[in-house]
Amino acid sequence: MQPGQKPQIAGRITTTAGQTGQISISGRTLNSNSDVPDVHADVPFRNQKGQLKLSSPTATGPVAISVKPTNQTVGDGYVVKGDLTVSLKAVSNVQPSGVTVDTSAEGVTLVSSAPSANLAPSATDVTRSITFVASDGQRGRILTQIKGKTRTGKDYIRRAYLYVLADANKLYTSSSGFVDLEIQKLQADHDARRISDDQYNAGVNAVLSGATESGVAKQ
Amino acid sequence: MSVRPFRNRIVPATALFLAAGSLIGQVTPATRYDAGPQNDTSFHPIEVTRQKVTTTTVLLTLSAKSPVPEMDLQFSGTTAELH
Repeated sequence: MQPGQKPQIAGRITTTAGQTGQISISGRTLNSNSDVPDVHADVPFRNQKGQLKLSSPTATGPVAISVKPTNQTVGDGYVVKGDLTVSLKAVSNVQPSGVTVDTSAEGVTLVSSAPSANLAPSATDVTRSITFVASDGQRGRILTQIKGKTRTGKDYIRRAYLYVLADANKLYTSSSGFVDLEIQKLQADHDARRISDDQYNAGVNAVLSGATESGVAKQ
Repeated sequence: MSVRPFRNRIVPATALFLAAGSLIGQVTPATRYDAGPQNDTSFHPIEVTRQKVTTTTVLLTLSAKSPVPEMDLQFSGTTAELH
């Protein structure tokens, strides 16, 4: 990217009335040998009576960032509070004192995540209290990343995903993936007789054959 | 060799099989499927509420102050508070 060029990127955020917070944007060069510093910007926001208001970003690094809301829709959705638990495989080899736990989201909006606490040496899992917002029809995933060092000094990284599908009738979650979410929804719709046997079978075949989209809408 | 003992067994067994198949055909709905391995993550919902939510597309415009090679940019880590 040369001075004068102004590439644009679209992101998406879901908020509720009265909500405040900030959007975080971070970037780094793909060339690990480059001495170009990382980019970071925070954009404070406030949802005022259903309208998202953005403040000026505070950016550091070689790139200036400006933001503006474009398309905005108001609809029904979910605010979900709960406990997310991730098992710690091979944690007996990890030094508990240096372990960090970070939670982030794609496709849905993470509202809060409890701060990390020191892990007990005998811990076999990590539980975080989280809150996220999803509008009807949205799908996304919440990433929990656990990083630390093994007793021999090697990096320990554990990534675990919780997949989410917000349907008008129910909120679905899965640790398996989007295919599992789609099948859960088909089964619930079939059990509630919202769809017929034929529609259920056609839907399952479409999901398993990959005919339906199973990706995350990037924020 | 008499075939009667064998027939005495196979006929009721076949009838039972057909009856069971007929019954299953009537009460079993569509086929059920299971998908994907578990990744040892679990979620325990404590409170799920329906609300009006606003979904906003935000356009980010970047402007280089100096030449910058290709970058990996992330729009994530949204943190917020509910009131």
